[in-house]
Amino acid sequence: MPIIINLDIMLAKRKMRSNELAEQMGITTANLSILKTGKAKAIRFSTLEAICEILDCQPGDIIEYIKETQ
Amino acid sequence: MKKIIILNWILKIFIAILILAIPVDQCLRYNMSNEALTLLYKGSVFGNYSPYIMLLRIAVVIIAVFNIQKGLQAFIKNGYFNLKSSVRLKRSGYLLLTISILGIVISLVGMRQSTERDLLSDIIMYLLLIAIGVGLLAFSDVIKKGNIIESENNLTI
Repeated sequence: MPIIINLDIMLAKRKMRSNELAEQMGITTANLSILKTGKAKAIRFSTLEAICEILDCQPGDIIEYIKETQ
Repeated sequence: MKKIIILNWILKIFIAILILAIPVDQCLRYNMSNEALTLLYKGSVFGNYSPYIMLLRIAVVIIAVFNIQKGLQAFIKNGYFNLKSSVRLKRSGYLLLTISILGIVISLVGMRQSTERDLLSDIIMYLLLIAIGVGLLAFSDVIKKGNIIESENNLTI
């Protein structure tokens, strides 16, 4: 998929651990792992809002579009 | 889910009755003389082979019903939208379609031997069977699509 999730980069920048973020967001670590590994099919605005609020960033810092080369 | 459990048991009983009917039928035929058997199947398309053709048709019906029952069992075990049920129902749909189309062809081939009323009732029964088969195929597609939607929904964070 050409959409890349840069959540681990943002977590490293904010020096925060995955389980801390999951706890603050109110989702399970398993679901956060699905999001981090790019296995998720979609992301809710409410989830994106929570991530942006906790990590103090913009949606563009977490989601990136990279054109696929054939 | 309760209705599906009840239907699952009804189908299990139905399969058991169908399986029991085969040896009972064989026993009844075993006691009949050759002349009586020839007289009995005189008007039939397949002649003396009619009971074997009937046996084959019953076997196909048993397999089709067995597949429906297994599909329902998968509903109970894995929830409504699972690929296992979809595959099972699709298989039984194709089997029912095959048996009903063959039944119509056999009825039409042997239409001279049977009365108009019998022929009509047979064809109506087979058309109903075709409707059930097509319904099962459509239902199987719905389950398959539902499974995709469910997995996408589960992967929406």
